This record gives sequence, C-alpha cells and structure tokens, in this order.
Amino acid sequence: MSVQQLKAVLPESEMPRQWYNLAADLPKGMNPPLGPDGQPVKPEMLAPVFPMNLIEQEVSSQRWIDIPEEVLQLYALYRPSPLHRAVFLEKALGTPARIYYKNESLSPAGSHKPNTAIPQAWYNKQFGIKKLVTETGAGQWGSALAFASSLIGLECKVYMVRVSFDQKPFRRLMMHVWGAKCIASPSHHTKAGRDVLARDPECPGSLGIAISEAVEEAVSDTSGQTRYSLGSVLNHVLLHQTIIGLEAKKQLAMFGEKQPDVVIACAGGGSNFAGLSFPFVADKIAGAKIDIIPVEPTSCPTMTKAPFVYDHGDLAKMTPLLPMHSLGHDFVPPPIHAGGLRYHGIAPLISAAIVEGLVTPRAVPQLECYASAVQFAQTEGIIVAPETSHAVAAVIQEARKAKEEGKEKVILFNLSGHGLMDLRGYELYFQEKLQDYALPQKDIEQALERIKHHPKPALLATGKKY
Amino acid sequence: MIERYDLEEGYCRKLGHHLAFNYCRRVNQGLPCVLARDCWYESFPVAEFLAGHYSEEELGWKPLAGFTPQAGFTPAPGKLETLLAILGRVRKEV
Repeated sequence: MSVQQLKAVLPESEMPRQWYNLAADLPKGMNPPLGPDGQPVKPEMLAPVFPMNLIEQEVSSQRWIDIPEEVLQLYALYRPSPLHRAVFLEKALGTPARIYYKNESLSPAGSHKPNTAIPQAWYNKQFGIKKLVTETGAGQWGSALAFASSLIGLECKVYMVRVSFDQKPFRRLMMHVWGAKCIASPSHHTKAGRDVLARDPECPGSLGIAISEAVEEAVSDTSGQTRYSLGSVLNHVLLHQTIIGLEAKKQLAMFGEKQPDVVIACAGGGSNFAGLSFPFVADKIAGAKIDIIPVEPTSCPTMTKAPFVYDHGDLAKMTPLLPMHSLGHDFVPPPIHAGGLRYHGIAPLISAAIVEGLVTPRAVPQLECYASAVQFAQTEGIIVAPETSHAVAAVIQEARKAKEEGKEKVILFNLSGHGLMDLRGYELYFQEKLQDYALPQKDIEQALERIKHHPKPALLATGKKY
Repeated sequence: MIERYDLEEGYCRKLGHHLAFNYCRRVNQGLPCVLARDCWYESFPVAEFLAGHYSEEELGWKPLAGFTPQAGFTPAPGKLETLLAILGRVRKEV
C-alpha cells in the first residue's frame, strides 16, 4: 500500500522572495484615512512610533516588495509552513472537495504573528533602533515580538496587563525565555503607569494603560533608538503576512492543483485573512474564478451587515476617520469566545476589496464553530485557536455544499494558530455554557440609524463582476 | 453588596483570556469596564447590578469631567485609533 501525500513541504530555496501589496492592484484604489479636520492623515503622524522604512511600506503602492535576505534566512527557521491536505476530514464529511490548509500553528510562537514580527524587528534594526516596546494581553503578540527580537538582536520590552501577567504565566514565560523584559502594567517605568499606581496601587491594569506605557517609552527615549510595534490592522502588517498565500500557490501546484476554487480565513483585524488571500485576490483581479471568503461571527457582523462609512474609533471623535465597514463607533457587539474577531471595523484594505466585490464575507455562529473545530481535531488532530474555528466552520459548509452539488472543489484555508493555550472556550463549549447569538435586526437598524449622518467614502468600485 | 458577583468568570475579549468579574467592575479607574454590560449579560443581571451601584455619570451614560470616553459604555476603539489618540496625548505630556 502506498502512503498518500498529505502535505507539501516547500524547500527553503523555493520560499517567495517578495511580499505582495494588494494596494497596487485594487482597480479603484483606496479611500485615505481622514483626520478630525477632514484632511487625509499624513504618514509623518506615525513617525514617532514607527521607523520610516516601515512607514514607507505602509503607504507604498508598489506591487512587489523584496523580502530582505536576512529576513528570509530567519523565516527559514519555521517557513515555508507546510500545506496539508485534510484527507481525514474529507472522508468524515464524504465530500468530493479537496481541502487544503496552511499550517501556521507550527511557528515557534504558535501562530502567524511572527511573519510580521520578524520583518518589523529587522526593519527597526536597519533604522538604527535598539529597542522595541509593545503591549500585550494574553501574550500572543508579545511572545511573537519577543521571539523576533531575540533573533534580530534587539532589546524587547513588553507591557503585559497586570491581571494577564498574573493569570497567564506561560506566554509571559515564553517572552522571558526569548530574552524580552515582560513588565506588569501599570508599572513604575513610565509616567502613565506611575500616575495610575498613585491613584490605585492595586490597579490590575488594562490594555489602554499598557499601550500608553509602551507608546510613552517609545516617544520619550531622547536617543531616538526606541520604537513601538503593532501586530495587526496596518497595511505593512498585512503585507508581511502575504508570504502565506504566496507559498500556498506553489504548494498547491505540488499537489497538482492549478488554483483553488474557494479561499477561506477568519477575519478580525484582517492580517491572517489578508496573508492567505491577497495573492489569490490578485489572480481574481486578473480574471481567475475564485470565491474568497473572510469569516466573522454572526454576533458581530461587521463585514456582512455593516455599511461602508467613514467612522471614528471613539465617541470623542478625537481620532482619524477611517473608511471601513462599520456599525459605528458606539456599536457594542455581544460576547463571543474568539477575542481576535471582536473588532467593530475591519482593515481598510479588506473593506476596499469587499466594496470592489473581490471578496465575499460570511458570518458563522459560535456553536457551529466549536462543533467544527472539534470535528477537525478528531479527524486532522490539530486543536485550532478559537478564532481559527470560524474558518474551519466555513470550510465544512463549503465541503458539504460541494457534496450536494457533486463538485470536486478545491478549498484552501488558513490554520492561523493552535488553541493549546486557549482551551477554556472548548471547556465551556463542552459544558454547554456557550450559546449562539445572532445580532437582532432591530439592533442593526438602530446602529445604522446612529451612523446615518457619518460621511460616506466614495464607493471606489469598478462595478465589474468577478 | 458590591462584591456579590466578583467570582463570576467570563472571557475578556480585550485581553484574550478568562477573568473574574472583580476585574471588570474596577478596571476603569475604579469604575466598570466599558464592555461590562455587554460581556456579562448572559451570566447575571449585570445591568441591574450596575444601575444599583453606580451613577449614570460614573457609567458614562452622561459625560463625567476628567474621564476619558472609555469611561462610558462605548466599545474600545481599534488599535490604530487608540495608538494615534495615545500618541497625541503622550506627546503633550512628555
């Protein structure tokens, strides 16, 4: 009996040499973020916290951006990530579809996050930066940046919210192992932290305080050798993640597949969705027929229900207006156990792709997500992160649809991270303490009423049918 | 009694892990988290609890001098928006 090929392992020599920038190919371009004065936000606004070489990537309209050789060498520690064929899931579903997944859970930090942490650390070092600071809650981003900084030889300091510092020791320990200073926030290291502690010495911290401490440390370093680092949302973060999809293209060919019929990833801030899908969005712009599906929870239906508006991030309207699919800055989504999917607005690049009709978002309920994740674990073995379970649920929907239609579809999805440090949600699922919640239509209508006066971005769409 | 629900456990979508309500009711400069009502309504009558222990000003239903917009029941802004707002504030202070 011959053993069937279950994964395509690309050699390091075949790793993509460039990242792909979708901003270059969007047929109608993007609406710029607007400041409170109604004028476009200038890149210089970010200069105190990010190095200029990353800001240049942030605003670049260049289609391909070279990956520095040193970054490639560091990527090679865990990349290319394998592309798996989910044969056992296919059998369990009895589907004629062929299901493939990029396994990003195999990075040292357990998720796709190092794909941007490494180049961010590298570009900072090239700019003369000696120290990176960031904030973290449970520690996924903090541990990725600690790992990257250790590789690059940068000092790394992570302000970890005190309550997380006390209750989630394992990622904190990972950071320490990688040489980062992980500080419980609020701390005495910054004015922001000292002010809080003066008012409340027992303060358990918050993400807002931790960000304030990290930004203050970056801005107040008079040597100019400290910068802040962010792991989601921004264009350059999405850019770095495109190595996932670029590798997947080559690996699908190793399986004899010409192209996928369906590409799926969960979408919160958007970086793992963008990473897998944007290279295939480029193919779609060029005429390929591919269904590209960002998945979100039914309880927080930003992409699937919300209009495209300019929206502030806060009630005080102090922050820039960003063109995005949004239910408004005062929309409060209900609870769900996948923290990464709780944004009330999606990344502007993804909004632009939705407006153009290049990607078609889908919402799935959380009980279906956990049921799908459990089925995936029991067939393919990997316990996925709660947010990744949204992608798995959509994959199973598509595989069942292929069975009903009798079509041999090729389905590709991004397994963005494992859930081994986030098992509490599974426990609650098994204890039947979770419930589905679909946002009632009246709540959506109320949200839409509140934002009806928001300025509307120009719908930069060609009207083309993809 | 204000500690009545302190040991209730729920998922914090800001931090990405489970926490006791004790944290949520005092995280915002001693006042409840902006998301407390939203996160806990499935577990206990949180709206009733909050109304019984805090004024409308403290809950942010009316503006309260000296408190940030996050003091009210509004969702946390996105990271970029948060970053730019903090950057503006820190540059004035440092």
